[in-house]
Amino acid sequence: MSTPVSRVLTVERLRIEFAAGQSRSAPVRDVSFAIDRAETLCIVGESGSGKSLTALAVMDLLPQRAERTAARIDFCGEDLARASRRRLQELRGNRVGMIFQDPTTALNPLYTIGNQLEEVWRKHRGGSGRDRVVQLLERVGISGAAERLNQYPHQLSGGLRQRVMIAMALLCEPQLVIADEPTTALDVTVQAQILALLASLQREFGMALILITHDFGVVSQIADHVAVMYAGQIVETGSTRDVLDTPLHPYTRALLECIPEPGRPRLQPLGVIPGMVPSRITDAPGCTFANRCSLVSADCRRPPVVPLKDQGNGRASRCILPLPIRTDSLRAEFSA
Amino acid sequence: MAATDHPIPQPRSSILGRHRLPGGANLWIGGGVIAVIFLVAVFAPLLAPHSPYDQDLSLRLAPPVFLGGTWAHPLGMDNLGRDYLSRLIYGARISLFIGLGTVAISGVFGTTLGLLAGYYRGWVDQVAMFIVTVRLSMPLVLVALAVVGLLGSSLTIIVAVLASLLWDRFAVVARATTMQLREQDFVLAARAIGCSPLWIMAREILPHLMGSIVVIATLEMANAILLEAGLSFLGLGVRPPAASWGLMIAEAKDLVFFESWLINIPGAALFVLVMAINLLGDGLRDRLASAQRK
Repeated sequence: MSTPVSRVLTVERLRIEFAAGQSRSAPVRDVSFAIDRAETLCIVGESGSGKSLTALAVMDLLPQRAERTAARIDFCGEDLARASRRRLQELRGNRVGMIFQDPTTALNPLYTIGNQLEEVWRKHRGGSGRDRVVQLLERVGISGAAERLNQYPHQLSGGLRQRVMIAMALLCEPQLVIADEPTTALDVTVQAQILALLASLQREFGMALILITHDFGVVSQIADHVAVMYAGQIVETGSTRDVLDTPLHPYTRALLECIPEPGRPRLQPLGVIPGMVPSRITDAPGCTFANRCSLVSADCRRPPVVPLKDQGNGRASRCILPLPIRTDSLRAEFSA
Repeated sequence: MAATDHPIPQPRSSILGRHRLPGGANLWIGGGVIAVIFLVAVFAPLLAPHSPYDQDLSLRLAPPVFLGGTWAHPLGMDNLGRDYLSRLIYGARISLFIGLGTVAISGVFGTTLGLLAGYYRGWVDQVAMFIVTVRLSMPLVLVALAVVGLLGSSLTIIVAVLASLLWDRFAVVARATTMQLREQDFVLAARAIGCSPLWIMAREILPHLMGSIVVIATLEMANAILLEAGLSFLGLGVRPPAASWGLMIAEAKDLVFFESWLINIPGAALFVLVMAINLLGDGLRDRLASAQRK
């Protein structure tokens, strides 16, 4: 298979399993995606859809009891699925940066932020890198960076801490940044600032950005491509505009129906997806979304597992129905 | 903030009133008493009015000042005619040496074991917990008696024996705290910036353990001092004529009904030292917990 030179990460058939006594669950199954330089991929899904596990799995940061298998996790020509522990340690923080959801807990409360930032540089590049740290802190919008270095995490606001986390992730100019719900713990106004910051940093550094979120607002603001996950599978991928404008999979469509928008007629009810994401996910025949889908038919529950079908134009969807589905029929279902 | 695993102490009103920081009185009283005893132990040769070994049989069992004795021997003379104050001062050396030595060794060993077990879990944890169980199933005093009886009693052997018996609390607490801490986001974040497991244990987790470790260290130090006194009392600890507080009590036990001050004086010294260590531990715990809450 020929991969373009600008390809940063290719994940093929990623699967994560948890063994709990006799029973096994597989909260991530058959997940494949790829991302190029300077591109933003958003992985969207409800809580429990496996999107955070997918993000952690790339750099082998899963909890110990998780078992990861993948046909290939290719990072700039290097197979991370078979990389040694030492090699992964060299890559983490150096060529792959990570940003976590909650900046209040992701910084060690016992060290100053300068200490924690310089540690990254010391580990991967040697020397204290204080100048570089100050410069980058100012770049991510922290004023008086030199004084901030001596402050402890509790002395900073949530937004500032997330900026520190971003600076930490970008310190060594990584080719790939994985941000796991970087704005979820923040105020809406701060959210917008952080997203804008990420976008502008990406233009400047040209890194690939994988952004995990459950918020389609975030997706529409920042993403080039979207992968929608449901119950551990990618159910739809494509360019952001395509997916948001003409969703192919009933789940994506239902999710979009649930977003309140300004200008929406007041009496038109918001969409609701009945039921819950299955809590223990295993390989089930047919479609995992069948139990909650408004368009379900008997065929949906038959084996085999529904594959992710290429729909052309860089899009794919995991549904057995002939596509695209008519929008009107779905609207009717939901408003009924 | 953060360090969510530590119980948040209520601010405590101090008997010294002006101290707003928690643990103030305990800390200063305990620390002060220990500092005094420590200095006395270090400068024992300068402070002791007489040699702890020289005998003057004509003055044996001379009473201390407060029971009508003379200032030449403020705490009187023991039944072999040795100056009791000097023996008490030299005895402080032994108690502190045993206490500090034991805790230094057992603290390092127990904490390391607990850290490894709590961080790696799995078979490492199982092995570590097995060792802890083995240790817990051994009766302290009996094992100490047996080993000292077999190997003879020197200060080093006593420290080694006590250290090999008093590490379990360090291990259990370090393990439990590490298990909670390793699930914290900042540990994940540290892995995500490329830290090795050893680095994470030493730099990210260990500092969070120090509060509890220090508190346990004080408890175990008091424990070790009392155990040494017990061993010496049973004749298996420090050898005569060296002076140890436990040995002084042992030597005086036949006279308990006639010259009870012979037992009361070293007993009081032991009590004050152990009490001071415990006060210091309490104070430190409160202070460290409040520092982490910042």
